[in-house]
Amino acid sequence: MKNIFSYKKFLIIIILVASFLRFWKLGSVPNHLTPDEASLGYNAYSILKTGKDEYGKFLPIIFKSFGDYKPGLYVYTSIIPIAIFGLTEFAIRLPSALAGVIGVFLVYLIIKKFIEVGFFFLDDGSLKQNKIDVRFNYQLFSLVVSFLLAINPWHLHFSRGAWEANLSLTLILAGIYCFLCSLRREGYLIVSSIFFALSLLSYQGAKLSTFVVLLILLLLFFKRILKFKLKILLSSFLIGILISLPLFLSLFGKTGRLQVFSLFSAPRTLEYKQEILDQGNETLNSLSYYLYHSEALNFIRGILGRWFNHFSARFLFFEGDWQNERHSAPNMGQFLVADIVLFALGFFYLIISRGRFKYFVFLWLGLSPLPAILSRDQVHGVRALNMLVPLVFISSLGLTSLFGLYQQKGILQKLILEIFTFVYLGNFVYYLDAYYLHLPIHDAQYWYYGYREAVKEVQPYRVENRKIIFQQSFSQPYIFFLFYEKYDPLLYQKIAHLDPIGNDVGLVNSMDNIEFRSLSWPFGNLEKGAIFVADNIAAPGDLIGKNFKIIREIYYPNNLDVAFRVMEVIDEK
Amino acid sequence: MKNKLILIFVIFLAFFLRFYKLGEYPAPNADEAALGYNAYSLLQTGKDEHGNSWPIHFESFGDYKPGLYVYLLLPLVKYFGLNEWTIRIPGALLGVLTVWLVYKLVNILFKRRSYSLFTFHYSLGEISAFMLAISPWHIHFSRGGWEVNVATFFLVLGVYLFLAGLDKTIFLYLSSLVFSLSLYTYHAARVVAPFLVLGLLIIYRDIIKKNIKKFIIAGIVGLVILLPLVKDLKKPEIMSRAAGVGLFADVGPLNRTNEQRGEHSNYSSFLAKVLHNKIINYGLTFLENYADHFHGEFLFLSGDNIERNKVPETGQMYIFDLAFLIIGITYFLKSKIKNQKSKYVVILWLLVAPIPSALTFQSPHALRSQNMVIPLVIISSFGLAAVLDLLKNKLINKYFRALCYAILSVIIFWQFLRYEHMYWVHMAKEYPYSSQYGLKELVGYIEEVKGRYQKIIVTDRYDQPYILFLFYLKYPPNKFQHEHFISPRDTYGFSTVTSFANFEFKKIIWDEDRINYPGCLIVGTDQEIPDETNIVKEIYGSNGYKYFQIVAN
Repeated sequence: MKNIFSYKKFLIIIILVASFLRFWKLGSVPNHLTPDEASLGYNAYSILKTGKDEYGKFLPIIFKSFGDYKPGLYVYTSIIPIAIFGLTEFAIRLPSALAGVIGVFLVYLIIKKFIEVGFFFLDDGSLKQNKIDVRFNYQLFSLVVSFLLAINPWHLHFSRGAWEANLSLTLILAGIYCFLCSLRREGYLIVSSIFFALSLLSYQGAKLSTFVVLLILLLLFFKRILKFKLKILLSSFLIGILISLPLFLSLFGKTGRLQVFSLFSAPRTLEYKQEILDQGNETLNSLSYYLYHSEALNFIRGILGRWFNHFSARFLFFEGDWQNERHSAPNMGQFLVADIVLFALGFFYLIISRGRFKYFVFLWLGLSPLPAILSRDQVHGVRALNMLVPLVFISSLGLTSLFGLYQQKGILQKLILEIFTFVYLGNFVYYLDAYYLHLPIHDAQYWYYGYREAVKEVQPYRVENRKIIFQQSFSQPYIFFLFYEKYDPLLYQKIAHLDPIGNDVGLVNSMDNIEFRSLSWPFGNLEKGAIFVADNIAAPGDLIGKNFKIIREIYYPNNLDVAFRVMEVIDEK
Repeated sequence: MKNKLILIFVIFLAFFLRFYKLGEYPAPNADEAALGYNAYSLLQTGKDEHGNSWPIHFESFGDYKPGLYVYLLLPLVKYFGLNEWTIRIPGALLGVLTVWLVYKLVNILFKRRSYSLFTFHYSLGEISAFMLAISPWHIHFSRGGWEVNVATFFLVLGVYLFLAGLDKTIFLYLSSLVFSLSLYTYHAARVVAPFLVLGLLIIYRDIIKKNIKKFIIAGIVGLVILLPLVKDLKKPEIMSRAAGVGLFADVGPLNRTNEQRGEHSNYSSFLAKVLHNKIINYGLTFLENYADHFHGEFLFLSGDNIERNKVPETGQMYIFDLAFLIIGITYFLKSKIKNQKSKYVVILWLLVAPIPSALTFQSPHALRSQNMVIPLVIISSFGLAAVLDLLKNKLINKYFRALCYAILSVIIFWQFLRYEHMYWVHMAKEYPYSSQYGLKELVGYIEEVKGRYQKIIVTDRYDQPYILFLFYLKYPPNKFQHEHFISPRDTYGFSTVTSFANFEFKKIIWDEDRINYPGCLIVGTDQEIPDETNIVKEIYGSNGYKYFQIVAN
């Protein structure tokens, strides 16, 4: 009894650590909202106040956002926090942070369930009939999994910010847990189905990642699923379909991002192919073309390359998502470098282990980057987020076996373990330093730093109804005005207008007395008294002449570079 | 005899793939020509091209090449003359021998277990030899005067002899000798060999304890042979080359340290100093370089970044090797092989092999880490053997089994064909600057006309043209040693010869040179020579690419 009690105590400590790491300075690190976060926040605010989104649509499930359409469960989860804390950074990030903490708890439950259903042993299922490997403490394993998830840089990163993918991941975990429960009590299957359907409604990329999980569960539990009562199977299937129906309906008709960003929409050009073929006097559609240079082969190489990227040490341990600075802390991978040791051990133990847990982990690990590798980006920290759970399972296996080693006597082993613990903790401190201290300075520009100050700075001129020309960009400056001014949703719904550009994102070009205009120096016809807001590239400090009075320069947190210059025209041309 | 059929076939295949048109494709590069010409020079004068007698490191382009390859060339150049063929024979021949040695090595590691397929009997050794025979990584560096291939041969031989030496002492002494010789062959071996030997000693420590005397004698043998090398390495100019490509030559991590400290509110606070310092940042860079060698993009899809070391759209291994490696690793870890230590040997090798290239700033580097191919091929063979075994024992339906065999062979054959296609058809055209194409044709033309001009000016745009002139002209070394002029070493530690006889090598600046060199023959690139000049000849390489325009000024 005492033993179980102490495990519970540890779990509580882990949850507390997870909460602290996710909630501490949540509103101020990262130190600015992304346009997507601001958009989620403002839509939630709009629904809270009027029941309609920014475009005046009543309680939508699919939201129109900067020109694409995305499932909006996250908006609904943030309504209550916004009602309590107001329209702030903290409130909009709260649901994801909470989802992160719940995720930490859920993996604990999932491992417990895995043990219960005999996932770690040979096929038959109950604990009693199997001799437990004494060196491997399963109870400990479930704690270690939740602990390593609690302090995992990748999970922390996307728990700290309004990232829909994180919410979706937690819902998938809940789905898995309820599915495992349903093996004993079939009614849970319906709950599981609801969670999986909700995960679809929370994130674009979940279409594939939820499908992957469902497929794996189906494969591993095929025999068991056949034994379910037909009524329960049918009703959970129908409920799942019903909830996710709006999403599937939206797939037809409207252009989704899927099409634009798909790897398959970018085949090689004919000229490029011809150039290669000419080297060997080969012709298009000849036998040697199909054998050596076919488009299919090219796509396979592209997909494989992206898959490798997600398993590369560069991505996982050293640089993180190298295509997008916003997806990891500076000079950090998605995991700690010291995790390499745990992975090596974990892989070893997983491979030699018996039971279906191995297949579950390897299948999920291998397939979870799917939403990322089918897109054009070489590597993608958000779309591949689900990878982190199987990876944490593996590193936890490594850590648990290390604990097993520690209990054996041997001075050398103990010393090595103590050194490793020291290095690992040091590595974690390095991460905390990178995240809390370096990220806000080093990556400020990637986090759109400056808009909050700029909005504040032009407030007086907004009231005066002065002409304001704000630099237009794909950072969607209008949304920051809506968010930080807490613009009355009823008013905005009347004037909302997005000009589409191509078939991807669109832009808002004006709002009351603000004109959002692409600016480059010199600005062209100037109207006396007009306020210009532009970044350092469009309005280089050394070129600003006598026509302008600089009202304020908004600096990045490094106090060296200028994010925005707010200027007033004092002399007409 | 019948049992040997597969091995004979594999060796023949390896031989064919390495020797077919060896002298013609790809065109020799400057390093190969340097090896050949230095051997030629030694034979004629007892000194290298720069007049050093019987050196251990050849000064060459200021890079001080480890010299064993040149000494291997001596008898070949003496009997077959100085040509493209001869200078490549050691690399190719030892490449074939490595294939045979891997067969021996694997069979001594994993006690010859016999499988059979139809009427053929084979063991893991034959599979490994086959995989190495068709390995793009191994073929690439076997086809040319690459010192690294010789080093890999010595490493495999050394490990084999060590294992054989556990039973028969004489092999142990030979093993020590061979490991020491590998250090004379190539820089990377100087890191790999010591680690490999150390690891072997640890793995077989219980056997060693029983025969401690023999091992000490073997150790002494090895150390004695190393003495001249150690003495030579003390020369500062040799070490400076190593520093030129080393990790610390890259200032990136140092700059990052400063940037990171600058972001702390107090530049020299305890935390800033502990977290951001040279040791950590260079350590991280080393680890990242090291891990890069296990990146799938490098291993299976695109290979090295350096054009000379790669074939277009081809990895260091085949894509199917990915599957075999995964299965192989699983079987490797799970299967109860009697000899656990043999597993450790392979894993040790795999872990040690990328260290030298991780210590340099170009990474991943297929050339410096070439010996990685040996453990990889062995593990991959485990995978293939496991698949074949599975098909044979688990599939009852013989038609389905035949179909599986067919699919497997088609995939392997298709991938192999594609590699060969990319190698022979596309490589020289996709990477026209990867080797010194066009130089043979250029020297051939100049030999005809050189009497007519008082001076010949040649562009130094492509690597080190002087050495290929020496090589193709078979220019008398005793004359060259006394009349050439060497440039100072650049930031990477390279130098070049700027003139000898009536040849001068420089960047062509047309507007100046047309005035400065009246009555001379000027050889420049397309870009260097304007079109409206008196072009007497255009030189195309064997790949059909235009390299030079020659002007009679």
